[in-house]
Amino acid sequence: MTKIEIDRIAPPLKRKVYVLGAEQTKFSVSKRPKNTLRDLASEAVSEVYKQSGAKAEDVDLLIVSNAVGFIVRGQGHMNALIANSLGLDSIPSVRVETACASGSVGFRLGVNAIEAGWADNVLIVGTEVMSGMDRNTTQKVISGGGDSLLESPVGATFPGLYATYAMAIFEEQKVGVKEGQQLLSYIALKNHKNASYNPKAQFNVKIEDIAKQKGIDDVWEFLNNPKTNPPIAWPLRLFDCSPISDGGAAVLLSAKDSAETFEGVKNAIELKVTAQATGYLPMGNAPKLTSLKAADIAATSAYKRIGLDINDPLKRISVAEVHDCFTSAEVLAIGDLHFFKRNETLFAAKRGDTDMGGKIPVNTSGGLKAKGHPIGVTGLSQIVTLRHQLLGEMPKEVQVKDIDLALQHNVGGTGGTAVVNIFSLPEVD
Amino acid sequence: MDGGDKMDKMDKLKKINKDMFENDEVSLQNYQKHLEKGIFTIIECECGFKTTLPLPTCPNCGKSLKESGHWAMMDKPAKIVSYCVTYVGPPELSDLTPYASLILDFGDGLRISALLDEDFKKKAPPDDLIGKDVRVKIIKRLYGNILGAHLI
Repeated sequence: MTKIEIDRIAPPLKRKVYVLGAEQTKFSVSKRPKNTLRDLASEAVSEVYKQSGAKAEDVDLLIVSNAVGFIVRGQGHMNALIANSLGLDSIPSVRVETACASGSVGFRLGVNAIEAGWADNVLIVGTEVMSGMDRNTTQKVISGGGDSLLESPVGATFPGLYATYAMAIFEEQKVGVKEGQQLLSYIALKNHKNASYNPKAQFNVKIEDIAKQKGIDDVWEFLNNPKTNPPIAWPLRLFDCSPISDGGAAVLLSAKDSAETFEGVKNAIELKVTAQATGYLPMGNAPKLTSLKAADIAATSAYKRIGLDINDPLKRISVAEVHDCFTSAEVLAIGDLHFFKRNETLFAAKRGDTDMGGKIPVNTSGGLKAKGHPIGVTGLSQIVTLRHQLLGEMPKEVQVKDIDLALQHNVGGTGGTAVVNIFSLPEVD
Repeated sequence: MDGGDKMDKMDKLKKINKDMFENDEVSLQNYQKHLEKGIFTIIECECGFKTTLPLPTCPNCGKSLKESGHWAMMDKPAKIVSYCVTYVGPPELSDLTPYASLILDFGDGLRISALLDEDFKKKAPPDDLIGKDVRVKIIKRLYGNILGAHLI
């Protein structure tokens, strides 16, 4: 990559940027929505104000990330709606939509405003209500992250597109479909186990316990039975897929000098680098179906920006939250992030390499798979988890010790957009 | 092949296209019109770039495809790059579900998504389709024709 490319994708941070507060609501889903977009936003923001000591009057810019509100709730003009509900009605506000990467792109635009000197404190709020849709509407809404002209008409659903990635990965790593399905299931087992310790996860329950509730003691018997784990888009099955979710999350970003005026600065974390890149839409145009170009170049640019060894980023990165909308997506992620060689990515979960105590604990929150995936909120929720990790606030079973760098990886759609952010505790001057 | 031969071939292709597609302008409407006629067309730019997308400008050379592009019928075989079998599909395809979705490669960087024209209601998904050759087949649907493919 050239210096110009790296400067575009992962620009240098001229002002130090802190995450002064970050929190999320519990993710959930119900037949009828229990919360409004406003409720979810307000709940998350009030926690962030408590953490940071900031108040509404301190916020210079509001960025709202929401992906499907216009279709599901018929609600446009989300920036003004949420600004009013938060008492932020005079400051500039904007809504961001980049499919499942909406939260992270909103976050990055907040960084941009601080770097430009237009704002000292930026509040990024993700809010999403997906409850109450019938199955057909759900499919249409989620397919909106793909190509409505070339993919949707030929039945390419989102599970189908990630199943297509899975088949290409199986082929590249020379494993049969049954073995490949089993290897993917290890990812689901790990992420559900992690989510079982996360009170804000939608499924805070191990798959083993779900099986037992259904009267099946052997989890593999449960996972291999098409009645309890039916194919959705073969080779992906029900327990390979993230759920439909409602949720909210908020992140308060501050320039370092501004952050230091708040009591909450003692619990701030520092952004080391933010990288964003664009990939292929439709996904079929990608020359390789075993890697997401946008994620790979975002990671590569981020590593180069802060001097990480691209051949061994795990020398410094201690924990990661990655985009696992399907189990096959986690396999793509840990390859694109250069955590493992491409021919090892399918096997990492089975070997325990991505589990607590492994080479790099991945998705200690439960990931999208088990924590939940309210589309426009997901990126911010990943930052919430990494802040808790860096501050040592996670439940002990999923707390990573002695963290150097914490990495976030968030993908829009099938790889059209990718964001990689890396955080640490603030450097002592 | 020298430059003269190349020009001859291009001229002949343009003539065929002109006869077949009546000099249709590059547009989404015409792409869909060709599909309705049962023909899968792509766009070739003067610069050599090929695309299935009826774009206003060529992503390779930046020229207007209305001026520098022409339609070409795509009837050569393609290879299956990857696929899946969808069991939970959209209502528009409920009569075909489960169905196999394919990503096809024609070479020259030209790839499309298509539906395999095969019934999977009573058989298990095949685990050996990657690398197999197919030909595009237009599948008629009530809401408009879509791209399909059959194994050869």
